[in-house]
Amino acid sequence: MGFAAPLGLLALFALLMPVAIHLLRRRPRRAIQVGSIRHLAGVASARSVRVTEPWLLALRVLLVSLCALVLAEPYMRAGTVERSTRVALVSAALMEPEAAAVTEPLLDSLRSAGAEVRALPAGGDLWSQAREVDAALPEGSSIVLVVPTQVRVTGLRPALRSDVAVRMLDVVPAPLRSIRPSPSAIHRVAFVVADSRSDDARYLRAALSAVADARGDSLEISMLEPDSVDGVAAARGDWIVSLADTMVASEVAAAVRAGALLLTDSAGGAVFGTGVPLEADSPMLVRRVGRGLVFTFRGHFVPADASVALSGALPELIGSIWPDPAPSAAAPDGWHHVTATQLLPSRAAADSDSGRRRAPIGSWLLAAGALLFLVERFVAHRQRAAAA
Amino acid sequence: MTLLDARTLAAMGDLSLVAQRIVDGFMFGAHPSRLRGTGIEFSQYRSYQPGDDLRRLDWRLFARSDRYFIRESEADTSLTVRLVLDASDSMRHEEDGVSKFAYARMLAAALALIAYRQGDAVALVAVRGDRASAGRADRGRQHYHRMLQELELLEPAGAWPSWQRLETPLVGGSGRGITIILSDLHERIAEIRAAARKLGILGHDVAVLHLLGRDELEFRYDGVVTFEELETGRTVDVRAAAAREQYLAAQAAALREIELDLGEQRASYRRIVLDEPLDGALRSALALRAARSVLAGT
Repeated sequence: MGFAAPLGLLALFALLMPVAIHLLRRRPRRAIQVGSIRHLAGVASARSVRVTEPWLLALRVLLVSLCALVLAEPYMRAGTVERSTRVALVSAALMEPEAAAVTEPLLDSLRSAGAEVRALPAGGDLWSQAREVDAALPEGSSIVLVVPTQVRVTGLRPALRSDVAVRMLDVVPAPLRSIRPSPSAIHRVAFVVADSRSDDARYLRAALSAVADARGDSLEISMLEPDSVDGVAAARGDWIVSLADTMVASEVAAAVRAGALLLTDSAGGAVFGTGVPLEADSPMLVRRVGRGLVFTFRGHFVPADASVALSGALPELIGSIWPDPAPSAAAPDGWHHVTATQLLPSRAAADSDSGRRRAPIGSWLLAAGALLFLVERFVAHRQRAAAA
Repeated sequence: MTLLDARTLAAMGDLSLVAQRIVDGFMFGAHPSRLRGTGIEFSQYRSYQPGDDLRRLDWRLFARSDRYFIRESEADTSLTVRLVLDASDSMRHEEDGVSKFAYARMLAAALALIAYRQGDAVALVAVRGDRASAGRADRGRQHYHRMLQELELLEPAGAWPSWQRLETPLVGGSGRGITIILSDLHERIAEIRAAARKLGILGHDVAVLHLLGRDELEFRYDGVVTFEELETGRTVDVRAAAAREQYLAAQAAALREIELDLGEQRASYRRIVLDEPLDGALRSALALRAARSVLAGT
């Protein structure tokens, strides 16, 4: 059983109420009038705290607990999947011997995580292949697409039931090898950093440099103070990294709309609204604003706070959001440069949320609670009648 | 449950009827008199034995009882019977629907009836919180009925007054006689002892009828009980099982002390429990004199 609104469990504090009432209530005990109580002098008074009717108290505790549970919107997971099926679909281009050095480590790690690795047939269209596999898989499965940076996709993005994650490897597929590689791009990166975030900026800067090196691109880095962002004139493909713990300045927002890429944290990205995670469980959210993209990183870049920076996943993450140069004209039909986000299938209908069907049981509990309430009233009434 | 139990009688309402029933029940009931001289009177009578001097037959008694009684004592047998009735709040102690006061009242009425039938003077002393009224001692039918009326209207109230207020009504008065005190004896033993002493000096006989409830005597309570003292309003919560032993011990000690105290003053003492039928109580009350006379003879 799970809770859709677990904060409702705070209502369990209300359990204090019936317990307190039972303990503190001075029942008007039948007082026997006698001529004298002198023979009882020195007898220990029985004023001690006693629970007078344990059954009634238990009943009331159960009732209050039920109310609290109902507030927390419980649901039962129907058709529980003990171990969700994970399938890794590997693009044909990556299965070639030349790509083995890059592909194999990733495939090994996926296998050890329990995924079944399937190679996609060559020449196929990624979407339709993914759709076929997804249809065959049971509810609640997850698919990992292992693809190169340039894939062949046609048609609309499918709506898949399973969770989809994308792993992009920087391998040039065979059909494209003859294509002249695109020239290296020069990216301008403007760091708008507050003093308190200088550590984050260091790590990001290192990550950005690493990715640029791997790509063969070069970076022009400029550091700006949060108060003086006038110099931010970004062209398409330029980076702005904003680590200022405040919302981004309007100049920055304008630059983003013009086509810049903004990398910021939750505080900075708030003004643009929430984005969509790159992958399921990814800490990086992306949102298209105007002609640019806003990447919001939910977390800190400093290693002490997150394992992201330590594991080397930070450069990989940056790499996954690196803007690719415009595709060269001679790309064969259907082949696109894509980023991971573009590969993600459109979200299927919301009720297969995390792939598991939820059956709400709140109404059952409410019915049980109503029944118990009637029982409690009956018992309490009888107690009162007996005491009177 | 005989017809003479307190509950049934209390339901009758009319005190003179009640008194009659009690006395008749006693006289003609299955209570054989064992002690010599025990009878239905205060004076020293005894049953007629063949050979007795007929001049000493009490004809009034014969007229009423259809039995022959010989007056034994030589001295002036006109007695004053003083009935001292405790009408303080503590007498409202009730068990099984009968309060100590109701019981005492019926017993007093029966005793008054006997006195009246004997031609003895009877007076009622009602001790209440606000006053202790000493009624006039007189004989005769009208006086008897007036007494009954006073008894019927009497309601217990207040706390037992101090000796200052009690002395005159209890001790003052004329003539020899017998004073019968009907009380629950809570914290009044000092005053009663003083009264007994003074009355003893005057040649009065004192009999103390101690009224107790069965539950009170045996502490027949259980669970967690709240007791409220009638006279003071004080309450105490006790766990009956835990308190029983101590209570019974304290009570036994108190009762012993009372017996000794009163014995010292040569006052008769009888315990009457509320569940006892009234004819039996009456016999108890009347046996006092006989018992004492037996003891005095030894």
